[in-house]
Amino acid sequence: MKKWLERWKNMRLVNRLILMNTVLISIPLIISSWISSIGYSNSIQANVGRYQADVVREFTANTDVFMNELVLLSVTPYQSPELLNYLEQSGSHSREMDIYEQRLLLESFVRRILVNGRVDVTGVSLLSDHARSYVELPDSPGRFAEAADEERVLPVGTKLSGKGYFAAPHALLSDNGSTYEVFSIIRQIRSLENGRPLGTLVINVPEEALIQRIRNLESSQTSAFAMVDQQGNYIYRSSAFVLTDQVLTGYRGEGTLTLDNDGQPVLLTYQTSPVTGWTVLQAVPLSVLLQDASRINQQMIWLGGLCLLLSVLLSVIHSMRITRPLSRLRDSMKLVERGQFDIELPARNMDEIGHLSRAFNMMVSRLGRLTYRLYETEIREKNAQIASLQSQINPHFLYNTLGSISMYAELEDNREIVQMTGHLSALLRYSIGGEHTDVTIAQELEHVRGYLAIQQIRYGERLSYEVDAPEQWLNCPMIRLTLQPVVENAIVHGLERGRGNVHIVIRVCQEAGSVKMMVQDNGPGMEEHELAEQNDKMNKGVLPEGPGGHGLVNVHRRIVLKYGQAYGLRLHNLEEGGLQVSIIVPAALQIPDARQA
Amino acid sequence: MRQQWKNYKNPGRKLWVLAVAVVVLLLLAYSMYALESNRRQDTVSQLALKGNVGEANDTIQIHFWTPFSGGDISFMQELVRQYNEQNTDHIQVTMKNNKLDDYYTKLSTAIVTEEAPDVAVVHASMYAQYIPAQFITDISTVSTQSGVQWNRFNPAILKRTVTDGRHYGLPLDTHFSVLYYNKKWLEQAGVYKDGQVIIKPGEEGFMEFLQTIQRKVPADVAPLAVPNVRIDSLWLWWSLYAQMEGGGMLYTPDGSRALLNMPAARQSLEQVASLYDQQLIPPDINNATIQFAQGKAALLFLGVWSIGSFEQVEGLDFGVMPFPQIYDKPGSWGDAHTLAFPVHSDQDPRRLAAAVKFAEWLANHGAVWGKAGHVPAVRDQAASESYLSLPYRREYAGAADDVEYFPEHPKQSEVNDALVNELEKLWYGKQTVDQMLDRLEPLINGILKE
Repeated sequence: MKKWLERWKNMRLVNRLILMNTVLISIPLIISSWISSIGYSNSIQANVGRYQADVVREFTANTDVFMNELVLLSVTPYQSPELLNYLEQSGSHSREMDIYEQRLLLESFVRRILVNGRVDVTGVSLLSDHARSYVELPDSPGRFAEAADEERVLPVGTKLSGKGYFAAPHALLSDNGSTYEVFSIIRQIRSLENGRPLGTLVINVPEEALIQRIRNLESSQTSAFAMVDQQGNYIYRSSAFVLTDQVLTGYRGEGTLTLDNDGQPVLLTYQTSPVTGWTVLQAVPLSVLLQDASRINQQMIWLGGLCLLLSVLLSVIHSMRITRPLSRLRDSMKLVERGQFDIELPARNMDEIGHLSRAFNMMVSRLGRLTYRLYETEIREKNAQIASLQSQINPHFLYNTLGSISMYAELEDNREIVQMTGHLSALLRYSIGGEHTDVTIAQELEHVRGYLAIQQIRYGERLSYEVDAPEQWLNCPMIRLTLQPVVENAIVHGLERGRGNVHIVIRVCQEAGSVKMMVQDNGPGMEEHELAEQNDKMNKGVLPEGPGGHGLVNVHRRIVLKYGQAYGLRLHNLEEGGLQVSIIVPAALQIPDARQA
Repeated sequence: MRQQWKNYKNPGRKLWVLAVAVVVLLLLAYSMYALESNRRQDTVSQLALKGNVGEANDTIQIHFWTPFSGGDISFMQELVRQYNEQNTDHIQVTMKNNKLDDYYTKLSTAIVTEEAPDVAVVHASMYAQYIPAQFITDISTVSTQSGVQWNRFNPAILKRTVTDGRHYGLPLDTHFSVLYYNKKWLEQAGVYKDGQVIIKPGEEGFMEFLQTIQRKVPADVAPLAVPNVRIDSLWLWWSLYAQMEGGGMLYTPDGSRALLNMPAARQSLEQVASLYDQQLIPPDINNATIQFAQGKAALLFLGVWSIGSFEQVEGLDFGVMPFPQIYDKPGSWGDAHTLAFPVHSDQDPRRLAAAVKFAEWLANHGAVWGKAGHVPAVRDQAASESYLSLPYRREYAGAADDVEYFPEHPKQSEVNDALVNELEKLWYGKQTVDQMLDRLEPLINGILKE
């Protein structure tokens, strides 16, 4: 955890922003689309369920209107006191009415039910508990009942009650031997006086009247209906009704629920008619109902994914826009660190980054100006010093004086003085006549020879030297007065502080694209720590305190400033003793002729 | 510096964590809610089976049938409305009033065809038929559960709703025939002075009283108005017959055969006939109640149930007195309204309990119901100041003890129908008193045999 936190903290700003934006955008987007997708399919399901319930309810209500007609028909006996009287007669009193009268009464009663103008009734049976029963079966005339008639007209499972009982469609055998599919309302007739059961009225209606109503409802795949009776037996079942091997008796009342039918969820709506006690069921596979919903869900997923992608892309771009000026600022800062002050950041916007860039630009330009002023001051100071020095030396006076000395020496025939003044004059001319800084190796060597000639007069036999300079390098450009200080250093260390003779060798050679001038002496060399100290001084350009010791450092710095870090002085002790100082400058066959241009 | 920064940072970070946690929690809660609320509920209601689809929200629909054809219906409607508003048991009572003439045919048919209401007003005189026929429910157990206090009811009425120690109904009231009088006409006839109706005892006294009125009032004012086409004239005869010592009987004690006290029956019948003969009861009364309300009748023989509605008639200055004692003892025809619970083959105990609750509430608001004129069956209601402070109640409430019910017999309503027929024939001159009395016993025996 801590590691992760640490990693997070050290992550690049742009990555952090992108990561955070992505998470912040995608999580709510995914959650909300997830919820809405579930909610959508649920609400579709709920709506379909409600719609289905409405269809079933309407169908039930429709059927009930029809069935209520039957219910009304079956109450007819109570409207006829004569009939009730007939039914109340026990066997002994039935003689009060003769057969003809009885038949007339029953016939007219049955006729009233058969010809009612509303419902197509095919058969009526009045089964009396006390008097003679009367039946009128389909396609046969009415007659008094036989012993077997009761079994024939009362379907199995009939529950006799004062409330009409609706018997599911069943076969009814007519007197002519043909069979009719009918459903019936069966009502027990009870005495209004004492509640005693008097008989049973059975009214038969052709099955088609009912089946046709259900068929009218079946138009599409989603309307698969079934109808079951009070015991859960099928009255009707459309071919598309998917529920198989389910016990449907449990579904009584009204409801909508989801069932599992062989692994396939099915939406079941049912309603039991309060009139008939029959239950209408509608069962539709959820997959059929939710076809539309799943298609729209898919579209939503695509759209959501697209939105996610787009927003992530936008957040990446945005993060980059924020962080790019920052990285540019950082890069510029690095450049300034290296001493580059001519940088300007674009600062078009007025936002924080714009302000920052402007402030940075201001800072850098001020810094540059300050640095420049510092250099200028230093240079001016040096120039002033040099100018004063030069003005103090009057070269013509010096040359004239030296010329006079040389003339007097010749008159006195003193060759040494003549030679010395001649060399000194040349040395001075070379050193002071400073109009050309760029010289050739040959000029430097000439200058050093003059210098050594003077020193030889001074030290006599103790100083000897040799110069080994191949012809082709003599025109190689060189910085003025670089060789002489090195040679002087060798003489100072070898002769003035040491004992014995000093032999100086000056050698010019080429080494990997540069020219190397080596000045070797045969002195004691330098201690290793002195050597390191000297190298360090030269690299840092620090001038030693106090007089002396400036020579080598100055020469090195001048070469480095002019040609770069790859050039300069290199010091090391020779194996046979003595110090070797190499001056390394770029190799060129002649001075680049910038002045002639 | 670093310390400071830390101190500054910590509460901020805590706030951040808190805010993020809250947002995440809200998001989670919302998603749970959204998922839950979108879940499709399986809706299953068994109540639809009972034929009351609207009952899903636990309201119990109670159907209540009444046979009120006097002015009392408006008082019952008001009571039912009050109950529907006030009851806290989610009981909704739907009331249906029926004409008394067809009421019992209709109720019986509804009971045998299983279409009966949950509670119905049943006259106490019908219990003799309805209990053996198993038309009404034994509520002994339910009433115990509901805490019905039987001792609050008038025992004389209560005993008619009890058979073999089982309770079959809650008495609501008792009602009986009284004499309504128009004070203006009685004053004019000189038989009403200082708030007292002056009437001499006995048959002659009563006749003289009526004859005086007949002489003194305009010809278009009926001395005594009795509705002549309905059962009312039977009530008049029965009141007189029952006032006699040994009268008021129709059957042998075991109820198997007809048995009348012939002399008493003859005397009372002749008395009533003479009222018609002398046109003390004019023959062509179309609607006696309206005639009295319009001031076109000096006296009206009618049940107490119209008092409330007469009170609302403007300009009618009337009084109420018990039916006068003409023979051996005071008394007039009467009956009691009770609340009974028709039998259903698959009775829903919740509905029965609700119906009993409603019935008990009604009985306990007897004083309000008494505004219609009836005497409440709950004793503390009948004795309550709110009831007795109503006009005339003090004068006739006492007569509740002298009520003469029809005999308790399963065939009584059929016998009544037959008697009304015979009486009508008599009033219209189709038969004489003797002829009618000769026919009476065979006629009743014929009905009993069926």
